[in-house]
Amino acid sequence: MIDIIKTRFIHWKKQRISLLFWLLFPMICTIFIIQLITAIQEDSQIPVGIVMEEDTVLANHLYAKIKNTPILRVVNVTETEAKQKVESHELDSAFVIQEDYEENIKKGKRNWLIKSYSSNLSFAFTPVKEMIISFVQEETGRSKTAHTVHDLSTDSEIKFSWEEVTKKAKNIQVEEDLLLTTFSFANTPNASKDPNITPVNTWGIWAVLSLLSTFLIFDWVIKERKSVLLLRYPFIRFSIKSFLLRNLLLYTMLLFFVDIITVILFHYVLNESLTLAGIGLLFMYRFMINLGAFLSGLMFHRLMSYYGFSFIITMFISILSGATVPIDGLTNRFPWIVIYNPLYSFLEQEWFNPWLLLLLLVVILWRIKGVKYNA
Amino acid sequence: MLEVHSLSKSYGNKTIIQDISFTVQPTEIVGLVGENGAGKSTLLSILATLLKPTKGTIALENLNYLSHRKLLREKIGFVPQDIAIWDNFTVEENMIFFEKLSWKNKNNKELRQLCLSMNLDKWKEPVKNLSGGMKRKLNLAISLIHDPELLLLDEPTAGIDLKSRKEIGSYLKSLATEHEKMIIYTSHDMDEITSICDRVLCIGQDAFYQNLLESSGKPLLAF
Repeated sequence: MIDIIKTRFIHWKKQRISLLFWLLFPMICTIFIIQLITAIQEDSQIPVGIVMEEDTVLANHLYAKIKNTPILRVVNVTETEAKQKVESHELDSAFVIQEDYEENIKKGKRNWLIKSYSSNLSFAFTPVKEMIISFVQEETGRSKTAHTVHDLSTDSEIKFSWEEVTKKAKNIQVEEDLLLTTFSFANTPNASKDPNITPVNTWGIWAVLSLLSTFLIFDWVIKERKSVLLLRYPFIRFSIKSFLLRNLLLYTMLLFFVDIITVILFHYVLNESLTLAGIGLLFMYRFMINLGAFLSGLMFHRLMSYYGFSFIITMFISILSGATVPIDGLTNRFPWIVIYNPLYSFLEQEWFNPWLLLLLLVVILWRIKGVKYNA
Repeated sequence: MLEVHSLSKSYGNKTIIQDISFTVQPTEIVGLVGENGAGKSTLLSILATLLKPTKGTIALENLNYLSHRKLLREKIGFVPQDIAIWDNFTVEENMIFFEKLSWKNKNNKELRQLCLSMNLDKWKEPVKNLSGGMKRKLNLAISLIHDPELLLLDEPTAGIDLKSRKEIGSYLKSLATEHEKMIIYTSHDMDEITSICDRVLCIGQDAFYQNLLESSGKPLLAF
């Protein structure tokens, strides 16, 4: 194997720039795409000023809910700043969580809890206002419930405090997931598990890009099977098949090493999780696409046809996996489509990978079949 | 010694080679001539273990071709008609590449010496910059890395200049005599065949080659 590595290094030395480019392409391109999407999302967020006049649990809770809304970019300001910034249109609108907010909610008061500022150019004021009102109404609703429960239990031995009732109500809301329900028509499969990749799925983007780069890196399978060079193999230590398989192993090691760097980089740059199971699944995916590219390379003798095939197959798989065009309707209607998606096992974190088994079987059969040389 | 006895090769009803017998001793260079399609390349492929004969037996150093194919390949050097080298490598990289895959280990000095012995002195030069003659020499040098006992050459001087042709010819002569190699050589150049080879095998029914060779005074076997 050492000798194979040495011969491979001679090739790699010659192709170092293109090899390095295609090795780093999925990693760098994914980070670029994700950063671009994040930047666009941030730019499209509505700037809203929040003035906190008190530092209580309920006031902070409301602030956190507003801040966690994806469409809003929350800016902490004083009331004077809020007026100025709304006037100068730096902020779309501003909301003041007024003093005694928590106390008023506990008292069951429902008016004059939040004050707002807007201008004639506050295009998002109404929907943002409605959203904040709905958050406040949740709190006032809980408070009212607490008062009702308290009133009902006046004559009872069991007493509930305001805090106990509101806490219980919040827990029920979280546990029952009242605001997120999956609907499905009768006699249709429940699409509780979405097999599609959203366009901002980091590993989905990486998987498609690394599929393409792997195919392009594996053009060595065609270059090294040039018919004239095939005549050398009977007179060297390795048969052509043995030589190609050892190189496949070597490429798998190299590409998996780059994949490990990718995992670490994604963890620090994109906050992706870093787990052993994830690395195991990544290795299976790596091995699968390497086998796929290897077998595809064996089918072709001309480089241009192979490159064309590589782009077509990558595009087809990216569409089938839903990475480029959402195919929710199609997968809901024909759930079996996901079986044909080679990215499914990796992205859905399933250990059973039928594509890997199938490709491995084909490679074994190819290895067992004899080799014929013609002078 | 290479012993070929009653060798025949057919594809379906078409007979390419019929009942050929000959022997080749160490230090001997045997030329293989015949018109196009007479079966020269087929015979060379059979002797290189790349094709199986329909009938007959072949043995090299008492090793039968049918039962010791892999072992025999370590003793055979085959120089294909087409230049089978890496165009994007230098001469040095080509030699090292094939040495790493070869049955015998040779250090850089030995590899360089092998090239120098046939006047291939552009060690660091990319192959794409070499002349046709230099490429042919490299093609030959690669086939000699594992020190084969039997060297089979399929038109090794096709399309190259006279100087390179002479250099390859004199190298092959010294290789046969000094290193006791058996060499079988095909060419269409009759001057080259008569000047390099000790004996000539004429394949096919064409009397042209036979008459030409008989006039040269070389020992001739015609089939």
